Amino acid sequence: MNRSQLRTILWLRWQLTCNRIRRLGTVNAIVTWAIFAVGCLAALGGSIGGFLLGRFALAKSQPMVLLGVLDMAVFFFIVLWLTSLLVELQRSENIDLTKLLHLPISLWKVLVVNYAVSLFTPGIILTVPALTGLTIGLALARGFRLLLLLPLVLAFVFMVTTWTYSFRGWLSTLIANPRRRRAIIATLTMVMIIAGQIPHLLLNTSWARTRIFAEIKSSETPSRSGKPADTNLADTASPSPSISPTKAVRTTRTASRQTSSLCRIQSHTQFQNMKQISTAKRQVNLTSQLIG
Amino acid sequence: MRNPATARAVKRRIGVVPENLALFDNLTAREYLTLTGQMYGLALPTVLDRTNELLAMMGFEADEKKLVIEHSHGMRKKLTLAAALIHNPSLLFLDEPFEGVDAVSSRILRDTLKRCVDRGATILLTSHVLEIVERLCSHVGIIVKGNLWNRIQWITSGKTVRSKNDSSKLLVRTG
Repeated sequence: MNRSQLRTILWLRWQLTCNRIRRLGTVNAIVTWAIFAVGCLAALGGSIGGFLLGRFALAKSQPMVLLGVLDMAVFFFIVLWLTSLLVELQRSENIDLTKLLHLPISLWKVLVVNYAVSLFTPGIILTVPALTGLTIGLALARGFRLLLLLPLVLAFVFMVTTWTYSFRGWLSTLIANPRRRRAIIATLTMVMIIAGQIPHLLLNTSWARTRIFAEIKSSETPSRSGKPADTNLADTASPSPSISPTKAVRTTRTASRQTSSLCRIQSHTQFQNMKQISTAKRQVNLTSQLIG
Repeated sequence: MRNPATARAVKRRIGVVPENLALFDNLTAREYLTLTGQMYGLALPTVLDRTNELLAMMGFEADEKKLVIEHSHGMRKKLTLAAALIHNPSLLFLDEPFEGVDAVSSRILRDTLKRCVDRGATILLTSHVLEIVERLCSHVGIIVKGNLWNRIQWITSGKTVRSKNDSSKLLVRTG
């Protein structure tokens, strides 16, 4: 494929989009262009916001917090991407390679160009600049090792988009038959909505609450003396004038481990037991004072 | 033909009207012809000249701003033929070019094909309508169950040519 053909493929993609918008009517065309402009502004704002977030707000935050922020961004990206996949599937006309088979061009290059052009969707426009800004901000605030986050983010984006590009092609061939079109789009929408509910079903239903509560109960396993873990913790960390420094250090570590395990349980459930946490922390402070 | 470069070189010399027409619904006729011309590697001024010529020849001047999706089946067939002719191919492959085409469009298609033959191009078309075949073709091959029949008949004016393959019972009458 020479430069002229590449330019023509890009022009084709642009012209198909413009004509589709033109077909919608004047009002719809204005609304669509306005949404496009807002999307571009949001992408710019997202990249600046991401940079500020990484540079200042997350500069000294815990890794778990950072992980939470990245998880939120990934979740946001996937939701937007799946939504745009459904919308694009119904509205746009993709560059079908079978329509180009008789032309003297290299088809795999058309495939690559078509895929690259298909990346300009709301999901990508809103998420990738924000994540790039966040990465640069984090790298400036916490060290350049965090620049490794950028190839990870891009790899994730390409992984999701190439898979869905292939999936979309398959769906396009399925919905080419108008009799199946509605059924497939309705089924796909339902599947996506239900799949989006899975975290809620796992964490917030009465069955899930019962299961999590049982897990918490079982985590409070009785010690050798038959007492619950927090009681045991209180016993081991009680201030005693005869405690040796080595034993105190060991006790501190045990208390820290128990504190962190309690914190983990808390973060995964909604049943917070503040008493356990505060007791454990108090014991940690006491043993630290003993060491001091 | 397994070599992609050779395949592309061959494709530059042929024009194709596929059965599904391979049009983009959201393009106008002029845009589609420009796209095809550019893909065949023609210079832009040549593409524009040829596009104007073909649009006039096929009668698209009045509906120039209509999208392909808004055109009738006959108009789409004419557009596909125009796209196949834009680079002056020496060999044309047409798959059922007259199927579902109204009388006026059919006449335009036939005239266009005749002009191509006069220019020295070879046209290979498929059709189920033998009347069209006998009116247009100089050589006929009959495909039976996916295989080309063993005789290609030369149509001579005013004679009926009977197939030597008695089992197929196929006849080609010449006009």
